Amino acid sequence: MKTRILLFPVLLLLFYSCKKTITINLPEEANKPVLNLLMSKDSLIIARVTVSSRTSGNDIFPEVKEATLKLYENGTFKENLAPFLLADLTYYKGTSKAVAGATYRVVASVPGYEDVEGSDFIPEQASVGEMSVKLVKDNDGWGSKGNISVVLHDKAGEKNYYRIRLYELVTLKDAVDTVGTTYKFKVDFQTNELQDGIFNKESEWDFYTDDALFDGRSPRFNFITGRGGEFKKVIVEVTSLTYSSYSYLHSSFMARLKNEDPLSERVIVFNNILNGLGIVGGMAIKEYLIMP
Amino acid sequence: MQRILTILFLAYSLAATGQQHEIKLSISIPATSLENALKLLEQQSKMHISYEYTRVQGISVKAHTYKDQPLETICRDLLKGTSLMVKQKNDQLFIGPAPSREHTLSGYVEDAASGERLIGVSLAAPQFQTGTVTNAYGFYSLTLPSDSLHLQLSYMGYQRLDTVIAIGKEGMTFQLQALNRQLEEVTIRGKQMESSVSSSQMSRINLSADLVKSTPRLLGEADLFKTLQLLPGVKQGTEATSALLVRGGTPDQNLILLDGAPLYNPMHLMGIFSTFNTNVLKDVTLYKGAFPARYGGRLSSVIDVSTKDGDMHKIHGDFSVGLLSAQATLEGPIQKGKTTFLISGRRSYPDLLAKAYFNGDRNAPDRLNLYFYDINAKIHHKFSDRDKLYFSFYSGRDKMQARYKYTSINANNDYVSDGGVQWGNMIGTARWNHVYSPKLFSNVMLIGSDYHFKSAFSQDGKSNGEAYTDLQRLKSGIKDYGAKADFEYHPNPAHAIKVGGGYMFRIFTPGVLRSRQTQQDEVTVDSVNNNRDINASEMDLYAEDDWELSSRLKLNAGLHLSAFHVEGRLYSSLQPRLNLRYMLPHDWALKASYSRMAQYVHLLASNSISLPTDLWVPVTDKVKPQESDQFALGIAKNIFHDKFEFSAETYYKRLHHVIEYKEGADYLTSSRGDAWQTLVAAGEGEAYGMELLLQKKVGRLTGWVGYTLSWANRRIPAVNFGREFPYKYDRRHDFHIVGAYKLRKGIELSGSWTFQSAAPFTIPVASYEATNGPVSENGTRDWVTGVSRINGRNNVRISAYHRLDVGVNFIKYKKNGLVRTWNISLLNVYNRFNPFFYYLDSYDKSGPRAKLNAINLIPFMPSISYSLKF
Repeated sequence: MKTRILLFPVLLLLFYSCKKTITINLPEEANKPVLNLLMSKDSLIIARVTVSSRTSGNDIFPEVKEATLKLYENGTFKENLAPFLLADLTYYKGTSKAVAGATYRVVASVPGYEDVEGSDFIPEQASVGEMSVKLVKDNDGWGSKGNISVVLHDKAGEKNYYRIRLYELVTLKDAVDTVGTTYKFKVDFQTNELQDGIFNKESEWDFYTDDALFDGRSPRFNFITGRGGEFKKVIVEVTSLTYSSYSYLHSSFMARLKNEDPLSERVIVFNNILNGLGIVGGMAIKEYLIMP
Repeated sequence: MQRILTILFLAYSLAATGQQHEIKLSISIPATSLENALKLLEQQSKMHISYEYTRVQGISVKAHTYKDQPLETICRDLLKGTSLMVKQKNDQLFIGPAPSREHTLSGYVEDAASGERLIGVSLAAPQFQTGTVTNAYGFYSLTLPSDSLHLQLSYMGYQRLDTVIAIGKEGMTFQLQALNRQLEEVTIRGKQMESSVSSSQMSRINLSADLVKSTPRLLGEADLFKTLQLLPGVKQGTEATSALLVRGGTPDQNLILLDGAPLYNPMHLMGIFSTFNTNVLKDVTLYKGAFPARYGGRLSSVIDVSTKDGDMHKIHGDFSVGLLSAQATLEGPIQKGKTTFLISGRRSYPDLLAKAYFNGDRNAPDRLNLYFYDINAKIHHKFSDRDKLYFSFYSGRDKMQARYKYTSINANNDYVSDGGVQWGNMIGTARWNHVYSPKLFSNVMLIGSDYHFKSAFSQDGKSNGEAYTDLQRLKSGIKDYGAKADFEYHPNPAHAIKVGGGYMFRIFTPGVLRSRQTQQDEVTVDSVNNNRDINASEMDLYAEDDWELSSRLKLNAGLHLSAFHVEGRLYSSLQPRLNLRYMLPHDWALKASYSRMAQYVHLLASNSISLPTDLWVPVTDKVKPQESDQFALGIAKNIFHDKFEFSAETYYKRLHHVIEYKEGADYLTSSRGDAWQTLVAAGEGEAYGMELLLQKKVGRLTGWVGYTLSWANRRIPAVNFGREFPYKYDRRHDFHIVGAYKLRKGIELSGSWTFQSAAPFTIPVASYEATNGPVSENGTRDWVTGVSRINGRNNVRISAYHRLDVGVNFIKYKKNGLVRTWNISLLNVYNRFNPFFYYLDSYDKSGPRAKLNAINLIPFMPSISYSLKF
C-alpha cells in the first residue's frame, strides 16, 4: 500500500502536466446559405433554407424567410415552392408529388447571396424479400430483444444504396384511455455480426449499405435490437437512396459517430449544393409491418 | 575502327621487325646475378641492353651455354621465372616488367577481436585508382592486372589498414582493429565506409549500432527508429511514436528487413518503441529512394537491418536495466574459429510496477500481464572460407491480459472473466554464403516471417446458480514462407554485377472470429465467421550492374521484375532503376537517380498511431497494386579534410493507387471477407522536397545537421470531395541537430534538437442545419444534430514541434575487463508542449476561434539505465 501511495502523486503529476488548452483561429465559414431537401417518391417536395453559423453547441440555425425557390422537373420549370410557417419554422413546399425516375432541381434565391442550387433524381422502390422478427431472451429487465431479419433483392448491373431503420408499434392504455393509443417508437439495433459483440459496438438507429458486395443478389441482414421489448408489431423501413442522398446521410451519420473521437479521421459530410451547403437528394421510403 | 587500328599496328610491327638486325651469339654464362649475365651479353654482342637496376637486383641465374643463338632468345631464356620480359627495338634491347595477367583478390573483412564480418568496408587500390567495398555479408572481390597489390582498407570506427599483398589463389580475409572507445586512443584516421561521394548510390544513409545507442533515450531505451526519425527525409508521425514516414510515404510503404526477412509490425506498446534490441544490431542502412534493383515490394523506403553474428574467439555479453525493460545478451564461439552463437532477450515490466501499484486493492485483477519481449538468436558456422551458414531467429510479442474473479455472497452468481490481446512477429532465416570463385559470390536464403494478432475474451461462471460459459476469440495476421538467391559477380573493378530472384508464399489471415456460448453444459452458440485465409505468391527477379565508365562517371543500372498471384489473378511490374554519379571539378559529386517501385500489399490502418489490429491485405480486382516513380538529383562532397560529408538532394515522387479510407469509413479486423475494399478509395499522391545533410562521422565529436523542405499531398476520389489535400504528416520544414561528444575518458555526451513545422489537422470550422429525411406534409421531420462544416481535410496547422534531448554516458573500464555504463537521459529538456493529439473543447462565440485540448506524452522526462559489458 505504501508503494501505491508513493506512485499515485507521481502519476497524478504526470497526468496534469500533459494537458493544455490552445486557442486557434479558424477561417470564417458562418453565414453561408444552406439548402436542405430530401425528396421521397410519392411525397410532396418540402425544402428548408437556413444559414450556417459558428459552432456553439446550439442546433438552432438562422433560417431564411424571404427566399424564392424554383423547382424544375427533368429540366423544365415546374413551380415555385411556397413558404409556409409551422411551429415557428419556415418551410418551402410544392404542390405536386415526386415521381420515381424524375430529376428535380431546386434553385434558391436568397437575398444577399448568389443563387444556390442542387438537383437529384428519385430512385425506384427497393425490392425486399422475406422479413421476420424473433424474440431473443435477455436479462436487462425490459423483456426479450428482437432479432429482425430482412432480405433485400438487389437489382443487378446498377449501383444501389439502402438505408434500413426499425420501429416498434406499441399500444399504451391507461385508466382513461382504455382502448389504447398506438405509438411508433424508433428502435436502436446492431447487426448480428460477431465483431459487433466482441468490439462492444454500440447500437445505432440507422443501417446503411451499398450493393458493392452483393450486386444482383439477395443478401439477408439480421439485426438485434439494442433494448428489450415485446416486439409484437415491428415496422421495417427500407429506403432506397441515390448516390447523393446516400453519401449525405451516411457521411453525416458517420460524422456523428466519429467526430468526437480524437484519434479518428474527421468525416467531411457530403454536399451537393452549388454556392452553398446542404443536400438535394432523392429517396424512396417503404415501411413493412412484421410480427413474430 | 578498333579492328582496323589493330591490323595497322600489327602490320607496322611486322615491318619494323623485318628491318631489325638479328645478332646471334655463342656464349657460356656462369651461375651469377642477372645483372652480371646481362653485362656479359652486352660485352659480347656490342649491343646496349636497357633495364632498371632495381628490377634486376637480387635475381640470380643458373649457368647456361648457348651456341649460335639470337641475343633476344638468350635474354628471354635468362628471364624465365622472373616477372621481367625483353623487347627489341631498333638496335637496342629493353628489359622491363612483364605485363601481368589479371588476378582476383577476394575474401572477407572482419573485426580482429570478434571475427564479426564488416559490411561496407572500403578497399582502395591507389596505384590503379580503383577499389571496392564489402557487401552485406562482408565479402569483397577485386580483379586487377597485378601479382601484388598495395591495398588500403578503411571503415568507420576502425583503424585504417595499409598493406601490400601478393595475390594468390586462396581467399584473403582481412582483420581490422576497432578504435578503442577510450578517449586517449581515439585517432581520427579512420575514414568512413564507402564514401558517399565516390558511390553512385544516393538517398542512402548508414547508421551504426553505437550511434543509435549514443542518442538520448526514452525511459532508458535506445531505439533504432527514433534515431532514424532524426534523419532528413524521415518524419516521425505522431509525437512519441516510432512510426517512420519517408518522403511523404505511409508506414506500410517501408520494407523492413531483419537479416533479410520482412518484418511486418516493428512496434511495441502501440508504436511507442520499435522492436529492435539495439544490443544485437550490427548495421542499419536506410534507403529513401534511388533503390538498387535488388530491393522491391514497397514504395517509400528500405530499412535493411543486420544483426551480429557472434564473437568468433571468446565469450562475452552484456546486461542492462532501464526504467521500462531489462535485457541480456550473450555471444561467443561454440567451436573457436568455426561456430558462433548469439542470444539476446529483452522484457519490459510495466506489469510488475502495476502489480505493486494494485497491491492490496480488492478491485485489482486476479492476474495481470502487461509486457513485451524480444528474443534474438543466431548461429553461424564457417565450413571454410568458401562456405558459411547462418541461422537467425527473432521473436517479439506484446501481451496485455487481465483476469478478474467476482464472488457473490450466496455463490450463485460467481464468475471469472479473462480478457486479453497479444500480437507479435516471429522470423527465422537460414542463410548460406558460398564463394564459387574469387569473382563469384552467392547468398541463398530460406525465409519465414509471421505476424499475428490474437484477442480472446472468456467468461466462466454461474448466473442464478446455472453454469454458463462465453468465449470470443479473434485471430488475424500474415505469414511469409520463401526463398531467395543473390549472386554477385565482379569481373573487374569497373563492374559489380548482382543478379538474383526470390519467391514468397504469403498467407493473409483477415480476421477469423469464433464465438461459443454454453448454458448448463448445452452449447447455445458456436459460430465462426466465414473469413478464410487468402494465399498469394510473390516472385521477383533482378539484375544490376555497378559500372564505373570512367574515373568521373559511374552508374548503377538495374531492372527489377516482380509478379504477384492471388486468387487467380496475376499482377506484374517491370521496374527500371538508375543511379548516376558524375565527378565535377573540386571533387563535387553530381548524382541523379530514378526508381520505379510496386507494392502488392496494403495495410488497413485508420489511426495515426500504429495499432496491432491494423490489417495487411493483398491487392484485389478493385484495389490495384501501389506504384511509385521517384526522381532525385543531388550533390555530395567531403569537406574540411574529409572530416565532414555534405550532401544535398532534391526529389520528386509520384504515388499511384495509394489507398485511404473513404469519408467516415473504418474497418474492424474481423469484418467479413473482402468488405474492406468497398471502404477504401485509391488515388494519387505526390511528394517533393529538398534534403540537406552535413555529417561528421569521425573524431571526438560526431553527429549531423539535417534539414528537409518538403511537400506531401494526396488526391483521392471519395476523400475530401476529390480535391487535393495535404497528407496528414505533411510538415514543411524539418530540422535536426544530433551530436555525440567524447568529453574525456569515460564520459560521453549526446544531444539532439528537433524542429518541425506544424502538421495539418482537421477541425470543423462552422455548423449548419442537417436533415435526416423528407419533411412530412404536416411539417414534422426527424430531428438531428447539426452538421459540422469541415472545409477540407487537414484544414488547419496548429503549432510547430521542437524538442531538446540530452544524455550522458558514464563509462568505467574496469581492470577485470568489465565495462560499466550509466546512461542518464533528459528528454524535452525545456519542457516544450508537443501534443500527441488534440480534441475540441469549445468554440468562441465572438469570433472564428476554437479552443482545443491538447494531450502531450513527453513532458520533461528524465530516465536512467545501467549496463554491464563483459
